[in-house]
Order: sequence, then structure tokens, then C-alpha cells
Amino acid sequence: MVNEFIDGIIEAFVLLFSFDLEVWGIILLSLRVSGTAIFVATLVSLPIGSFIALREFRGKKALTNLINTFMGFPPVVAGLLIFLLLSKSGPLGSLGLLYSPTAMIVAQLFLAIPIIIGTSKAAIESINPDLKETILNLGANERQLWWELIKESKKSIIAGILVAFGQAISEVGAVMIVGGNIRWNTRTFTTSIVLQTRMGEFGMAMALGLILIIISFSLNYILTHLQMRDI
Amino acid sequence: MNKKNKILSIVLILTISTLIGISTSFDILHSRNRIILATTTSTYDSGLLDYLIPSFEERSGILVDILSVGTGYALESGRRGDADVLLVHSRIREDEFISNGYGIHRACIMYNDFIIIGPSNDPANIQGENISVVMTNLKNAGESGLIKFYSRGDGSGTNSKELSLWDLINNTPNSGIDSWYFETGAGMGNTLIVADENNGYTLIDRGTWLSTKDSVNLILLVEGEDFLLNPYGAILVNPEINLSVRYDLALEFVAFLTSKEGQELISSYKLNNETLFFPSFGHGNETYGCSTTDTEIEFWREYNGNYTG
Amino acid sequence: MNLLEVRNISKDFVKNDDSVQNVLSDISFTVKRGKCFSIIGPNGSGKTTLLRILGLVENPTDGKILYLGKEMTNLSRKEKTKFRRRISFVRQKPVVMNSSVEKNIAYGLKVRGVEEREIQQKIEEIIEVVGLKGLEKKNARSLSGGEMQRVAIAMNFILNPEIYLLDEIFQNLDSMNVKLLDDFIMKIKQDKEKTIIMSTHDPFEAIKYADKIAVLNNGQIAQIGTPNEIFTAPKDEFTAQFVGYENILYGIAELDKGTGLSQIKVSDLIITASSQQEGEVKVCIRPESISLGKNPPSSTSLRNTFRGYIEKIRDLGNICQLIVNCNSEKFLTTITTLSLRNLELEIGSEVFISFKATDVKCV
Repeated sequence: MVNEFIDGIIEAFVLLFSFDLEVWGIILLSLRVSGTAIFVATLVSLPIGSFIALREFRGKKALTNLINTFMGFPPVVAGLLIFLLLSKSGPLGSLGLLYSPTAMIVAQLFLAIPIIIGTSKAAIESINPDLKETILNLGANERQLWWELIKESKKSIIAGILVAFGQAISEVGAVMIVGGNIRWNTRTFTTSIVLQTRMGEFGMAMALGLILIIISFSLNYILTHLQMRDI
Repeated sequence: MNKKNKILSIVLILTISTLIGISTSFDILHSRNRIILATTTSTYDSGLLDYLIPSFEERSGILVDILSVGTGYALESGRRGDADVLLVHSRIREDEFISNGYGIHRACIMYNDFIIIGPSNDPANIQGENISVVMTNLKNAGESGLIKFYSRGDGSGTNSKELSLWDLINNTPNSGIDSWYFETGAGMGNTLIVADENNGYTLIDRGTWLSTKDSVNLILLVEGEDFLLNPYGAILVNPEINLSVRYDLALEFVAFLTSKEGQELISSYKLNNETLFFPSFGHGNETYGCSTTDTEIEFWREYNGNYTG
Repeated sequence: MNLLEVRNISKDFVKNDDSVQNVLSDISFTVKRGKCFSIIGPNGSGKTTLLRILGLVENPTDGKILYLGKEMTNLSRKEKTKFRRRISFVRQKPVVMNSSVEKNIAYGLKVRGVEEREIQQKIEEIIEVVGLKGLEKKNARSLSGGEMQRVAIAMNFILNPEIYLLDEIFQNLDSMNVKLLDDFIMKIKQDKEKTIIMSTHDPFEAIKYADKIAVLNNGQIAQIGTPNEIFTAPKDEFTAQFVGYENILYGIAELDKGTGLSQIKVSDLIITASSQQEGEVKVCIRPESISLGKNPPSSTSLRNTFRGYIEKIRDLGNICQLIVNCNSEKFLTTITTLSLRNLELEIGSEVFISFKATDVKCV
């Protein structure tokens, strides 16, 4: 194992700094797919999560249960469902989106959205109710209240987004199924590692793994830094 | 947040959304200008296609996206219309595919061969024997607890070949009953790793062997028999089953494979200085494991620059 | 038209174990514009809940609230927000947002869409007044308790609303802030267009500011009236005790037709009261009304004089509270520590207590 590890470190450096086209392509694709998925997921999930947190309505408990359940939805099953949806013989086949990065983004959305809805909802619900009332008493309407509470629970919300991003970029089953692991087109870190391992190229697989870790850590670091600062 | 930041964030969000929209449209457009070739993992892992296809893409302007999957998946994606052309090596299943109306205009392209590998001390004593003796010896040694055999057990072309070899001695082992026979359900690479770790025997295609033999302890024990030949066929997915299949583009691709240039490229591909694949288009001889029919030749010569092998 | 009308408000809370806790029941009162209305009661009597309902952040289980004749209970969200913007609610414990002092204070104006320049100007003014100059950019949560209170006050008073809801705001203040708040409230009271509704558990606070007082006991209104009415004529034992009649004795009254005074038999004592009561009564006397001395008083205006001994002494610094036992009835009175020493009083000392008939209230 140590051999592969060392091979991997050397390989990683070589690939990164020699601007190996294929590896950089993988890096950019992975970032594009997971980045887009988290971006869209956040835009969609924050309003939904806060809406559920702030309003009382019939079936709220049931909906909360549903969201929590979906947080544990196996990504690979989501991948299968999306595959059947986008396949040429499926309902959305005419879009021709199977085996494309967009399909992979959709798969990761499935994963990220429940996580961000769940965590942002919990974050807002854990805010001191006195604070919420104070903001209302100061004359905030619903939208203003919503925005203020998001600012207050910024740290927890960002933590939730980080979790979702981590899950998305580490996901391998679904993106393999809907992406097809096609060279230059739909190969991400995770799917490449699977391929390299299967081909017995452990050094290369390790290299990719190390680069993935570096990128993942760097992004987390930056976001955590933002989280600490007072925006 | 003051006004300046507010405007900045809105601009940022709009920009990113636009970029996302553009990339999605790009994906949709890209899919119109490419064909999807479904082939097996062992074929892809040999590196042949990455060697062959750039020439095709250059002269034709058609992009080929390769799905490297199991034989079953490849056929299934043809049936669903998710792939436009197949390159597989499982004759019986290919014929079934065509008779079901999913594929048309099959062409023999090339063949490679399988070998049997095992531990260097060869406890089953199969080295240099003919195929029936090999299989019988394997079975006996297994039952005596001397050896282990690893099968892919995944319905792949390799797996079909392996099963047909057991058929020769009318004695197919059962992984549930025979404790020396294991089914990994995995691709060739993984199966090789497992066999190596356990010092067992397995059937492997020469391509995968050549690219991985330096990293395993097992050695080549049996090769060269006719029964070990592995013929490849290219099949066009029938456009009638799915209107969005890019039939014309796929046709051009297979024409390339059967053309003089394509066939020469195939034979020029070397791994570790050994030729891996042997072109077989136009050869009507069973020895090559693929009987190219006259109909086939007549059909394809029209498109491949009148090359008949 | 009254500014505020509260009709039969009640509030139940459903707890986690599904049991129901009744916090307010059948609350009704009115408040006129420009007046100061005080709700007094002990902790847990429901004052904060009532104020929250008036502040439109809590819905009553039953009953109606009407501001300027308009019913609040079934308003749309938008309408509620509009009304909330005419009210300012200052809490007992200051709650600030996680941003700078400036931003906190500006918030109310910001959500009302006031122009940035005007906001800046108003902030400058009020920061000067509450004494937070120099702390504008600091995070409000990093301030000391007293500073945070001043931020909370500034946040609300900058809005210059029509209606002020103040929930026990003097409770946690340090003395500097008490003066500040007192100034603010006095100024607001001068404006006849502004109405104050304040809750407190300190009856003397109410006396100071209120035009009308409601006494809240365990979620129900015990009495509503002017400060004078409440303090001089408490309607029930609770009110009496709450407003400071700490001596409450039980006895039977007989009206002496000749003098017009009631003679009340309390155990072995006869207490003379100017209130014309008969039958079973509760006798209420303020500690401050009772004078104490080593000898019986020379003045005859103190119709009630009793001899007793000091049973307990409680040292409160400048003042001592004494429990004097007269024929097994206990009286609470206060005396300066200086006097205590001068008279050389201690536990067991024989003393005479006396008080006027007019200082005896019967309920």
C-alpha cells in the first residue's frame, strides 16, 4: 500500500504541474458538476427550507418527515431513476441529456436538495424565538424577516451547504450511471478513480484521490473561513 | 448588506445562472453531433479504441463517446436507443439482438484471443495441454482442493467464452456447490486482481493480460487454441426502434472500422510490443471465429471504400 | 374611539406533552390615545403574553383586539405588518441581531424604507442620547448587558411610533439606564398623540407613570382603575397585598354608629378603621403607616395603639423591617437602622405600635 501511496503523490504532482490536459479536464468537470449542483440546490432549497421553518400549515410534520427521509435517499438509486428518465426510451429521452454533465448535475441535485432544505430549516428553527419576534416587532414583513433570519443562522446554513457539497463531489454511483464515464466528457474524479482502479492503475487512482482531497479540503477551508468572518 | 453588495450579488447570481444555462444547452447540442459507441470494458481497457478513434474523428468530424460497460449493458443500451452502435464479442447474444430487431447490418471487425492464467507452480497441471484436458484437469484439481478458479460470472463476452469451455467437457461448475469455483460478478480487471490475490486460475483476454501482467504474480499457462478465439462484431442500432438514433453517423463509423485504413490500424495497435487484435473483416473462415457473410461484405463495401478484407 | 380595545382575550398554550396551560382568561380593557396604561402583576401572571398579543406576534385563543376600531385577529400578514409598524415593543431582556450597533438601530427604519441619509442622521442623534457614541461599528452581541439594553432602547425609540409596548423594561436596568429611560418615557408622555402600555411587577413604577392600571393575577384581571383607586381601594386581597399592604389580618367588623367607625375584632385585638364595614373582613395596613416607639404615643390621632415585642429583625441596610408580635398577631413595620440603634431595640424588646384609623383598609 505504501508503494501505491508514494506513486500516487509523485503522480499527482506530475499531473497537476505538467498541466496534463486530461487531468485538468477531470478537475474542471468535477467542479463544474458539483459546483453547479450546489449552486442551484442552494438557490432552490434555502427559500423552501425557511418557508417550512417559518410558517405553520397543515401537514407540516408530515413534510418534515418526508424531507428527513429523503436526506437518506441512496444516491445510486436516484441515479438509476434519473437514468430511466433521461434514456432515449424514457419520457425525457428527446432531450438527449443522458451521458452528459447535465445529467450528472441533476443526479447530484437530487442528493443536495434534501440536505440543504433539511439543514437550513433546522438552522432557522433553532434561532431564539425572541429574536424572531423582535424582528417582527421592528416592522419586518415576511421577506425581510426571512432574510434577517438567514443572516443570523448563516453559520449553520453554510455548514449544511458544505455537507451537501462534500456528498456531491464524493458521489460515484449515480454519476457513473447517468454520466457513462465517457472520456473527455463525463469523467469526474470519482468515476476516474473507479476506472483506474479497475484497470489496475493504482498509482494513478491514488493520484486522482489525492488531488480530489486537496481540492475538497481547499474549498471547505475557504467556505469555513467565510463562515467565521462576519459578512 | 448595502446597496453595492446587493447589486454585486445579483449580478453574480445572474451571471452564474446564465453560464449554467449555456453549459446545459451546450450539452444538448453536443449530443446531436456525436455517436455513442457501447463496448465492453475489456475492449476499452486494452486501449485500442483510444488509439483508433482519433483518426476517425479527425477525418469525419464525428465525435465518438465511448461507453465502457458490461456486454449486457451494451446490448441493453442498444435496445433502448441510448447507444448508436455496439462493438461486442458475444456472438450468440449478438445474433439474438439482431433477430429481435434491435440491431442491423452486423460486421465482423476483428478478433483477439483468451488465455488461461494461473499460479506459477501450476498445481492443476494444465500448461501445454489441449483444451479438453485443461478443463478436465482444472475440475479435478478443484475438487481435490488443490486450486481455485475465478469466473467473471457477469454475462460478459469473456464469461460466455468461459462457460462454453466448460461445455466442452459437459461439466459446468456451480459456484454455489463447488467450493473451488468463484464468481466475482465484476469486470476483467477486478476479477484478475481477485484471482491474483488468491493465487487462482482464470480466463482472461489477452488485451487485459498484456497491460496488467507486470503487476500480478500469475503466469500464462494456456494459449493458442481455436476455442480460445474471441471475435468482435460491430452492430448498428436499428433506427426504427428509436427515431433519435444517429444511424447515418454510426454507419460511417462502422464503415471506417471495416475499411482498409481501419483494419490496418487495428493490426498496427501494439501493447508491450505485442499485437493484440487481428483484423477479420471479409474472412469467411470459421478459424477466425467469425464468418463474414457475403451479404455483409456486399453491404459494407459500399461504404468502406470497396474493401473486402 | 379608543385607541385600543381588548375584549375577552384568553390564551391557552399547548405544551409538549399535549397538556393545556391556560395563561390568560377573559381579559378586557380599553386604552385611550395619549394615555399611559400599566399592567401590573407578579411574575408568571401573564403580562408578557398579554403584551405579545397586543404586539401582534401572538394570537389569542379567544377574544378580540381592536386597534382604532379595527379587529386584529383575522388580519392578513400584510395588514398585520402595517399595524406592527405603528407599534414599538421593548422587551425585558434585550435581544439584538448579530450585526453592528448601527445596523441594529437602523433596522426598524430600514424595513420601513426610510432613506439612508435620514437613517444616518437619526442614528447619530439617538446614539448621542443613549450614550453609545464610539460603539457604532461594534458587534451588538459583544456589548455588555447595560450597553445592549441601550441598543435595544435606541432600536425602538428611534422609530417614534404611535404606540409603545414596554415589557418590564426597568427590571434589568442599571441605575444609569433607569434615568435614561425615565427621561424618554416622560418625554413621550408629554406628547398627546403617543400612547404607552407598560407592564411591571413593581406597583410604584405604575404609580409613577400610569393614567390607568390593570392588576393581573394568574391570567385574570383583578382590578382596573386609576392609581389612586388601586392603591387606596384595592378590591381584593391579592391586589391589596400586591400593592404593598403587607399587613393583612382577618377579623370581624362591627359598625359603631356613634363614631361612624368600624371596630374590628382581630383575635384579641380591636382595630379601629374608618372604612364602614361589617362582618368578616380582611384588614390591610401598610408597614409605612405603622409607627413604633418604646413608649405609647402622645398623639391621640393614632386611634390604634398596641403593645407588643419585637419578634424578628431584618436588616436591609439603611432600613430594618421588624415583625412585632402583639397578642399573637404579627405586624410588619419599617424603621431606619439609625433609629433602631438609637432606641436600642433588639429581639424581645417591648415596643408600642400605632397607626391611624384612616390608614386601615378593609377588603
